[in-house]
Amino acid sequence: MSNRQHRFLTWLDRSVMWTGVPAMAAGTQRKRHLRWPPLLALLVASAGLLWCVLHPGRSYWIGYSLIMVGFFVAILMPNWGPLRRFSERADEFERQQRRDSFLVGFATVAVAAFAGIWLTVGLLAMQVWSTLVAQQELTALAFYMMALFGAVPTLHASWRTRPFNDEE
Amino acid sequence: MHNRIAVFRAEHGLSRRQLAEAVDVNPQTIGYLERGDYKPSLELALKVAGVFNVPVELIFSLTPFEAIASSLRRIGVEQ
Repeated sequence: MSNRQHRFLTWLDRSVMWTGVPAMAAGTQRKRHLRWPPLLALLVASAGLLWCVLHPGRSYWIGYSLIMVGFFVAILMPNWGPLRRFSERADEFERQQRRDSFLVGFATVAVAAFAGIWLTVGLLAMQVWSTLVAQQELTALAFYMMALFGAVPTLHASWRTRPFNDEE
Repeated sequence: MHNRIAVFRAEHGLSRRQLAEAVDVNPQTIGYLERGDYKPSLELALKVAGVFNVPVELIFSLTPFEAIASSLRRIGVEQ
């Protein structure tokens, strides 16, 4: 193998390692504080939900698209966030952190579900929304809640503790 | 809760990773303990004390520990 080929293969190896996929497959990926991506995901998804509520007509898809963007970013958060998965080995600090953060996550989802369902029922009862619109809004709410479930625990865990810098 | 893990660790020449391996936690957990961001369980506190072979109250306390400089100054005055 020539030197050039060797360098190219090394570069390919490094590129693959950089993606984090091999470490993820081996279960050794680096856990890090993610303070801004989950916040961004929640902001985008919340803006989308607000849009869906305010514009339930033909431009509904704009809000729905925003929710889906937030949802897609949010479901990636557990992969790189500070929380260990339930299947991973965790010490007592990590178990407590996971418990606290998921508790906050579940509470947030519960509040969103409660508010969203009652809002839908109320607007249906007042005949502000049709059955079709209510169905669309509930679909949007379901994806919004999944975005909350993906992002809030990571957000909570990332802001609860300060990350270590290299000197520490 | 206050602790002197960093002082004992430095005295024994142990890195965070070495102490973490000795008490079976992640190195970051030792960091959070040292910072005071996390209150350990009794089991972990006893394990840490066991590594340094001292009573647990020498490492962990509910009241702040006296600063090392103050301790040295006081000992100097007494002698």
